[in-house]
Amino acid sequence: MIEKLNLTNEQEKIIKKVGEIGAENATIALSKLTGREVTLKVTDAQAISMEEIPNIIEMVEDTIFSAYTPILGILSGSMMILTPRTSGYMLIDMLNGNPPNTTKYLDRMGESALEETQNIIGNAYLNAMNDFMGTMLIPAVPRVASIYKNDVNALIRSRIKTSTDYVVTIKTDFTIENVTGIFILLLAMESLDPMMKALTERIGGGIMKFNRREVKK
Amino acid sequence: MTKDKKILVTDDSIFAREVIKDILTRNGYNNIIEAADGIEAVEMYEKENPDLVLMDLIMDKMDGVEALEKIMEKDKNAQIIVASAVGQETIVNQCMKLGSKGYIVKPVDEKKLLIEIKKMLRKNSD
Repeated sequence: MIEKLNLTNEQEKIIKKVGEIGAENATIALSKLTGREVTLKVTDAQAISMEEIPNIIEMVEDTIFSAYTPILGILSGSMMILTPRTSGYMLIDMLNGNPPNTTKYLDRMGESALEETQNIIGNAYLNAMNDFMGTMLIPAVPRVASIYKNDVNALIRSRIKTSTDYVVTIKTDFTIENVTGIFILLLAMESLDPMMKALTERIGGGIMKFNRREVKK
Repeated sequence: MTKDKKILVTDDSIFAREVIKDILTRNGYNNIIEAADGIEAVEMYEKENPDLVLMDLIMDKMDGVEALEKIMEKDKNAQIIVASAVGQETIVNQCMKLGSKGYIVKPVDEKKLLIEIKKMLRKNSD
């Protein structure tokens, strides 16, 4: 069972809603980038221990490509796409207009294509959050890493500044023809209050009361 | 001929630069130079004096806003189009105030990019 922090129903609902709007924006942007039909589906929106992240990622291959971007603004967090290596190569071929199976290793051009994909999806999510919360969150410059799936945790820990072991996660699965991957948005728990405050102010206050519950171990 | 004009494409993403270069060359613009960050863009602008600059906003070393500001300080008639992602309207507005003449949204729409470039280059040659 995944160890998670109990959020109120409203908090969970809002986090999921932010994810769904982000996914909608990202679908349009990604389909424009690739010129193909794209499916994005929010499959997880919760606050979990960072140790649990590999359990929700479920990668089928040992080597995965990650393109990650820190979030700049009032919230502290990071976003990343994770894709199995084979899918990563297919995505690079697709974006560079190459025949399938052209890419055999990750060169600078391939990295750049993955960074751009992260940019496009990440911006779509931040745009949704900014619209929804009236914030001004912007992405930093993306970076790419080729990692073993067991090292996802280390990557995430190095990318997110938080004093607790818990992070708010919004996980979205994406498919572009045979390419599969996930986009994951992670917010430090310290960001939950400013996020909910921004939302409450945005929607007039008084509609929702958010109470942080105790950590359920 | 507007298609002989020199265009400086600035983006830290080699992929994004290739996409834009591909669109431009397919449409007859062959005088293209590149910069991979704001610092390079400012240096290239001084050295090459391009007719038009396409400027990405989020870049390492020096971002697009600062590079735009520096270029405009040196040449108040510089023709700069900023390339922003969806949701960066505030930064785009800041760029417009600093002297940017237009903007495009990423992922780049070929038609819109070409319209914006033609408009700008035509204005420049009037």
